[in-house]
Amino acid sequence: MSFDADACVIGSGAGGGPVALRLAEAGLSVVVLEKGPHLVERDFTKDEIAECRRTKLTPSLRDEPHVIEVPEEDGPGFTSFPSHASPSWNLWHGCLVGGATNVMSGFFHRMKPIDFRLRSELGPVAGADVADWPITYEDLEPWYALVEREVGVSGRVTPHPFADRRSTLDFPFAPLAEHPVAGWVDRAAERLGQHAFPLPRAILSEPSGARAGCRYAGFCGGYGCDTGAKGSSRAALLVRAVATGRCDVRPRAMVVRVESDARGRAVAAEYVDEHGELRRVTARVFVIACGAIESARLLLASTGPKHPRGLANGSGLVGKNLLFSVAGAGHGELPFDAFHGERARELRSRAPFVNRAVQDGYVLSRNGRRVKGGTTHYLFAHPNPIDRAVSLAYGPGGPVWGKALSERLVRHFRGGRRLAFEVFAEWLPGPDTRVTLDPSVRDRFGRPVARVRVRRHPEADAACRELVERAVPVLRELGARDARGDGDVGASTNLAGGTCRFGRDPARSVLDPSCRAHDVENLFVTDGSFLPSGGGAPFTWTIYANAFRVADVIARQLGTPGG
Amino acid sequence: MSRRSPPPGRSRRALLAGGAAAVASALLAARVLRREAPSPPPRGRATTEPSSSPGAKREPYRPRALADGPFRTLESALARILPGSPVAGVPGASEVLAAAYVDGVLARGELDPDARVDLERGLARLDELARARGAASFAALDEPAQDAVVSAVVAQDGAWFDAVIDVLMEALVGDPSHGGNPGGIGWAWLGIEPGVGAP
Repeated sequence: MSFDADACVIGSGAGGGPVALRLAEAGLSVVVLEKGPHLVERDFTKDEIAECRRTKLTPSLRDEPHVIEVPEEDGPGFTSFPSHASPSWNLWHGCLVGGATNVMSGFFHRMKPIDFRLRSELGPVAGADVADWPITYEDLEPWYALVEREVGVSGRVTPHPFADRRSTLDFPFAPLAEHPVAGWVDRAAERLGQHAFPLPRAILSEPSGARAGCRYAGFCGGYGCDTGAKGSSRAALLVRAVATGRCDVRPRAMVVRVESDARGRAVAAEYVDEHGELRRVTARVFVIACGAIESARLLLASTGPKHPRGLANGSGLVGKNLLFSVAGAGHGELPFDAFHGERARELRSRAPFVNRAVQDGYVLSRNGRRVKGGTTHYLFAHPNPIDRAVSLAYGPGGPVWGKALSERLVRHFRGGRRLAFEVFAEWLPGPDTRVTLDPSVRDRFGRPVARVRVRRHPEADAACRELVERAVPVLRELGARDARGDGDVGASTNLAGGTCRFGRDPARSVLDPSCRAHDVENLFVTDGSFLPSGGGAPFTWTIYANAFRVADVIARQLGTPGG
Repeated sequence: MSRRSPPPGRSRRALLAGGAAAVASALLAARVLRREAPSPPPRGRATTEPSSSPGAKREPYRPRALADGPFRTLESALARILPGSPVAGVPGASEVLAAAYVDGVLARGELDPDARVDLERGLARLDELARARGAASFAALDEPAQDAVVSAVVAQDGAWFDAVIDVLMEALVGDPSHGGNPGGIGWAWLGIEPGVGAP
């Protein structure tokens, strides 16, 4: 029997890129199917309207909505709405070759050893499904180290209570240049007994290979990188995979179904191409990496003779245990006229990066019990001027317009800098956060859209609030005015995981420890779907590392080319 | 149990705050405008068109999406929401060509249909309240009366305010290639330095 390729990889982000590169390097043939367009460095601008507020990098929510279900305001049930009715619930992030890694900020953290043993270390949590991972931190550590080199992570190791166990001394790339306010954060945190450390970034501080170093434009999150410094799956990995001559990346290829045969094996990926034609790719192995929500949707839609509830869904768990980060945020103002001498001069520096993180609250104590916490980042408020200007029209007393609006605009933009923080707390996944197929709403391809139910766990919310309460004093201590925090921002829609949890027990997990489907021997899932827990920090580094780990397994399973 | 969209009048921003946000880059704010643009906007810096220099004669804009009446209402209302003070060097809605920008966004189909409904509902309401005050239209009122009417509509219809602010701020500090912020005057006012592929 002949196949179109040894491996078909569906999705080209942090889960797909490592697999495509490793297999192509091993001499195997790979087809990568990506629903979005193939954009490269010269296609990316810093035009906020085009890049962040239209449909260049994500689909129209009218054409391809999600249906969101959130708890009723006053009642035990859920209320639902399509995402276009509430664009803060846009669950698409970077639909293009390289996926959302094109538009990430690249704030990179490893997970900690405790994250791999959450249930053993901290015990069960009522209303949540907390599980140990089937692998340990030591199993993943070499792959974290490999990502530092392959994707390019810049940073500097400094001691703090939750510092990573590393197999190498320091990062392969020096840290990015920092704004002097980074030092203010360090000293303020220290005075309060906290430990700020340089936040690792998946951004090259110097050129490497075909990629240029960072040019410090400061527009990272939400934008494609026009120098290649950001470690997107495209710039860092797929470009090299394609250069082997064995990796065929097909953009604007929306996979709608993975066919399986009478034995239950995956045999073909069916996709709609840019002309609306239905096409298929056959392969020996299929790798699903569409992001946690879309991967679950694709599997649920891919019923077959041996998979009546959806491909790889013998356990009924596909789509369950969806997780995000619980997000908190806050900011304080640093007016130019409030500082004098050296501090005033420092404040006016135009350097974009503060790059500081605190993880002292990675594990918290509540009522004598240890509970999971998370991570806090300090950074300048995102520079997007339209977003900032819009937010200024909403004051504490309601809408602001007229002369008052002009004055607020001038004060905000010209009067100083806004220092912000973001909190990422462990989600604590459970039965009330999940993906199913919507029974009625269809996308422009005529396929059922994902129905996404989200309910945060009260204990996770409490952890998030506690981290916010620890962060606001740091802003005050370094001299910020009007420092305030919000512990109730909600779900981090751009950081989704779970839905195809990995584990040893086929009744309690979708994937085996190698991220192979328990009940489909030639199907792997390599995006964030495998995560049993979210770690309390952005987990893109973990997705990359795990995808490299699994790529090794796939290469061995496929054997030598022609063998 | 299921609702298509928030009820008219309630601010989406107020109603849906606290649910979700894109993080890991300081909470990229709600992206209300998500319609497919038929063609990509021109790239690069288009910041200093000679024709947009102060004092240059500009042909009156002929609206393409809105009828003349609602367009004049929009223009007058935007001028109250973001009043300029050219003497003090403060560009307002008129100086950043906000009304023409909004009409262009509508004509290109870039505004979500719900937001367009919100926008036009408010314009009709402004005229209705103006007529109740004995004027032919909102634009015919004097400025203090216009402010009173805008104030009433903002209080009644948060969704209208949301829709207006989103496009108004795009006109103020968005890339000039989309039709607002001529010559980058909004950026110059607020000290925003455009870079390669602005800002």
